[in-house]
Amino acid sequence: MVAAGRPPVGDLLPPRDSRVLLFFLSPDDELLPVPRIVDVPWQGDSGSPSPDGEEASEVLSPLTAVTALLDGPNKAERKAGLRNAPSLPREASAADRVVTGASTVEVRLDLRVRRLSAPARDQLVCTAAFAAHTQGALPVVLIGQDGRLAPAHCSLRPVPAPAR
Amino acid sequence: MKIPGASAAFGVRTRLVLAFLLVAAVSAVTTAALTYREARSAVLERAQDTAVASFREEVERFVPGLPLDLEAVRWELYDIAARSKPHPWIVFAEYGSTRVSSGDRPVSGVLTEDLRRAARTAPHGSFQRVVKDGKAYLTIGMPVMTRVVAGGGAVPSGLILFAVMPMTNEETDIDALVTAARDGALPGLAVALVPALFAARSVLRPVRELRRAADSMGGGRLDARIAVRGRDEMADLARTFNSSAARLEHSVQELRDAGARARRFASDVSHELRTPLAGMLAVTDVLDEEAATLDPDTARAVRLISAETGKLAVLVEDLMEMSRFDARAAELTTDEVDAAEAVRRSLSGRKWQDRVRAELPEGIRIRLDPRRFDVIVANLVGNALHHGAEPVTVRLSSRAGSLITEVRDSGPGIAPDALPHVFDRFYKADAARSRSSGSGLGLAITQENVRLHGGTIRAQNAPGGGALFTVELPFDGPASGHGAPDGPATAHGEGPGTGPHTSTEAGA
Repeated sequence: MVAAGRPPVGDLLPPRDSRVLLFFLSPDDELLPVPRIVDVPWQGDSGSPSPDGEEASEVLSPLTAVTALLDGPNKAERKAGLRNAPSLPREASAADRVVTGASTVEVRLDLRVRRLSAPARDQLVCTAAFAAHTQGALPVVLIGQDGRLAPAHCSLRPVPAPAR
Repeated sequence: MKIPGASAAFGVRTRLVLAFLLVAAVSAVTTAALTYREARSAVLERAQDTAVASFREEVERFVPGLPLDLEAVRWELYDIAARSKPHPWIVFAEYGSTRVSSGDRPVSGVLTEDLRRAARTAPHGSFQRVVKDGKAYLTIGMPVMTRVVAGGGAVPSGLILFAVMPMTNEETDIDALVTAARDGALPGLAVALVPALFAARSVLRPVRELRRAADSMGGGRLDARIAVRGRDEMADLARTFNSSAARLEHSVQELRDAGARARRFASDVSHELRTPLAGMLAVTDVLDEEAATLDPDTARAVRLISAETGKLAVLVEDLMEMSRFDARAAELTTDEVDAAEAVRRSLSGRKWQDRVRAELPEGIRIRLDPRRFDVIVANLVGNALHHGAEPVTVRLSSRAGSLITEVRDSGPGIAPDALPHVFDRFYKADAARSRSSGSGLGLAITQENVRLHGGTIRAQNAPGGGALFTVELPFDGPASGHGAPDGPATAHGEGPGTGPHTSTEAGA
């Protein structure tokens, strides 16, 4: 077994403004980024920036992402063996609200966050972080019915990739 | 003479050739082994590096959209497989629990769990050489990373691509190298034979010349020399041999000259003594006649002088005879005679016929010098009578082309330590008995006479006691090849020669 240099890097994900990134677990219990294409409604006159950006990207907001995550993998994703951590309830409504601050992202959930397993927390943290920040660099605080967890970073940190 | 033949099993030639071949074989094998190792790793590494680099390149060209569409991915894999380099490979894709490949089966049996785990967990590509069912494969695992946003950092996409490439061509190449090394080594060994034989020849030629020269020196040609070629050790050896041979030749020549001078001196002395002796002998007869008239003391002195003069005359005659033999001036005057008649004449001439028992079968005719044969018989019988004891027997017989003359006495025989010397000149077995009746040359003269005839003489102690002298003379003369006159074969008798009174001298 010999290491053979850098891995191949490609743009496997659709452009950021047409998808949310969900983090499911592979059959080998690894966190995988899975894009979910969403229909972005027409924003009218594209030349001028929308005065209310928060509203305009409603479908791309971290809350949408967390909601979609809690909803679980779709049929195609399940077929590929992707799944949620068992301790994550399949309950889309559990996502309450997500507040994106300057330095942290607060995710309020309608469930007991302390009972979540580490992979489940990681799924939530990564999904929220990458939804709030392009590189997922913001720490995420999970707040549930039983209090709040310490701020955590997504365990999947993007590594510098060679430009093509 | 033992000469080590050129065909000796482990001669210098064989050893030199073997050493050359060994050196050639060792260097050929070493070179082949090093070449094989280097070439093998070079060939394999080049193939691996090419395969890994081109596989990564192909994978990066292939950008499936996540989530995977299996059918689309399969076509992409066909595309990658079609562009395989340097050898055809089969591509396997894994995503989650999805398995797709460009081959018949979605999962390869060659990929090891190790490679799978490495590709899944390590953020870099890996390859592994696998030998399965005697075939070598190169397996490459590539975890595909994906950029989160264009130009940004990358995270593992979960998609892993594997390539399985048979290395048969490389194995064939390496096998070809081995074959080439082997095929090259054999002619190499054959070629090494040529310098080996040349080297052996250049070493062995001086050795052969040296042997030939030493051989001819042993054969008496002391002027044998070797041509000195070059300046190597062999030339040194040849020079040393030549100078040694020259010194030896010089020494031998000096010895020969000294011997010749001594013989000439003895010859001259005996000649010079003969004339005065002849005069004295003429007077001794008168003295003997007059002795009776002298007073007893003077008469004894006169008779002593007369007797000693007679002995001196005999000694001088013997010395002259010896000198003739030494100077090779003795000649045979042969005549065909009846052997029994010749012996009888010898005995009766000395009035011994009553004291000697003769067994002389009639009708043996032989060609010899009658005078010298008379000397032989007379010396042997006289020796037996003087030093042995009666009865003395003379027996003639013939055997295998030779006339055998045996003279045997009934004395105590010859002491074993005296046996080898009985034919030496002036040899006396009993030193106390230095004044004897003979000259001390009788047996020596007998031996020379026998040699002159090409025969042999032998002294031994007979089984029943007493000394036995055996003379063999070839019937057809000295030219019959009956043996070069190498001297007497002196055999030790079986009987113990005990007495001090041992026959050593021949009275003439």
